[in-house]
Amino acid sequence: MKGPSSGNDPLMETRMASYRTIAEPKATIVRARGELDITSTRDLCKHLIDALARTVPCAIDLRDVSYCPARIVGALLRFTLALEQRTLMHALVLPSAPVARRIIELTDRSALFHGHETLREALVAVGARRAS
Amino acid sequence: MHEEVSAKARSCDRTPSRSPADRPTLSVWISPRHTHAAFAREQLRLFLTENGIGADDLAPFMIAAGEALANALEHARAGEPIEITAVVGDGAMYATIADTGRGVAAPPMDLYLPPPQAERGRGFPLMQRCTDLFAVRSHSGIGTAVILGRHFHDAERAVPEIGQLPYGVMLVDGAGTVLEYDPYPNAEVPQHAVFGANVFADFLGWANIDAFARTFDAWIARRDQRLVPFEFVNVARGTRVTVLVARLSIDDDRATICLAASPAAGGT
Repeated sequence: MKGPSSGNDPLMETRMASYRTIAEPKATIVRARGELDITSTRDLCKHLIDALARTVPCAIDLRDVSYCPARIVGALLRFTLALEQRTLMHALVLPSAPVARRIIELTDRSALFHGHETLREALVAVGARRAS
Repeated sequence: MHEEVSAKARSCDRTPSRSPADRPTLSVWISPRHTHAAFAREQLRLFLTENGIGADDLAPFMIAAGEALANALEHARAGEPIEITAVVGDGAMYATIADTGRGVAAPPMDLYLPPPQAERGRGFPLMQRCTDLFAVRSHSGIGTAVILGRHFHDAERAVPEIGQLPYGVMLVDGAGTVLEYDPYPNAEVPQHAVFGANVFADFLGWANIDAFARTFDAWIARRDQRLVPFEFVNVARGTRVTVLVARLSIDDDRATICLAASPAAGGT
C-alpha cells in the first residue's frame, strides 16, 4: 500500500511510507519502508490488524525504515501485546544501525520486542523457518 | 505572506561566533501536511550537516525534532503554517518548532514513559532524552512552541562539557527579584553578581517577569517566536555570557526559570 500522495517529486516519492503484507503458510510478514510519518500510522495499523486476523506468528520488517516517530512504536507495542494475548509469536527485523531500533531503545521498550538482524533470523525465531 | 512551502537557509563560516546575528540560521515554513513535514525534516538535517554536526549528534536531535514536528502537524490549524527555525553556534544546535494550533499541556519537569499499552505520551519523553535543552511554551488557542537544544562534538570547535550545563535555576517574583537561586557546581558567576532585581533590565529589555511572559506570548501570537542563544551582559564583571532559557514556568506571582549558559561563553 502506498502512503499519501507525494506530488511529482521523485525524491520524496522514495521516502514515502509504504507497507506490504506477505502471507506465508506459517507466518505473516509485514514490511515497512521509507519515512513512517504519523499520517501513515493508520496504514500500518490496517496491515497489523490484517496480520492479527491470520492467527499465525508475525515478523515485522523495519530494516528499510528511515524515519519512525514514537507513535509508530506505540502502534507496534499494542500489536505485539495483542499477539501475545493470543499466544502468537512475533519478531522484528531491526538491524543494529537503523532509526527504528534507536527509537525503540530510547523508549525503553527494546525488551518487549524480539529484534533480529535479518528476516530469516526473525522467521526462524517465530518458528516459520528452520534454522539451517 | 508565507508560501506553502518555503525555506531559506543562511550559512556563514565555521568560526564560532558570540553574536546571535552571526550564527548560521535556518527558517522553514510548511503547511501542515505530511509531505511537507518530510521536506522540513530534510531541510533541518541538511542544515545541521552542512554546519558540521556529526551523525552521532544529528540522529538523536532529528528524532527529537521529528517528534516535535509530528505534534505540530497534529495540532496545527489547517492552512496555518508550521515554522521551524534552527541555529548552530558555540558547540550547540537549537531548533524551535512552532504552530498556531489549539495548544497542548506543557510537560512536567520529569517525564516518564507511559505503559506499553498506552497509545500516546512517548513524544515529550523522547524529546527530552534526545536533547540537553527541552522546553514547551503553549497557550490554549494560540499555539505551541517546542524548543530543543543539544551540544555536539566537533573537533573544529571547543568541545562542550555537559557538566557546565545547566547554569542554574532561579525562582523570581513579579518584580524580578530572585527568591531562590540554585547554582550548579560549575556555574562560575555568583548570584549577586548576575541575578538580582535589575537582572531583567539586561534581559533584552525585559523589565520584569511579567514583561518577559508577555514578550514570549507575543512571539508565539505573531508566529515570530525565536528562542536562540542571546548574550547577557554581566555588568558587574563586564563580561558577556550567552544564555538560554531552558525551561520556564510562570505562575500568577512567580516564575521558575532554568537558565543555561553556552559552554563557550566567556568574557568579551
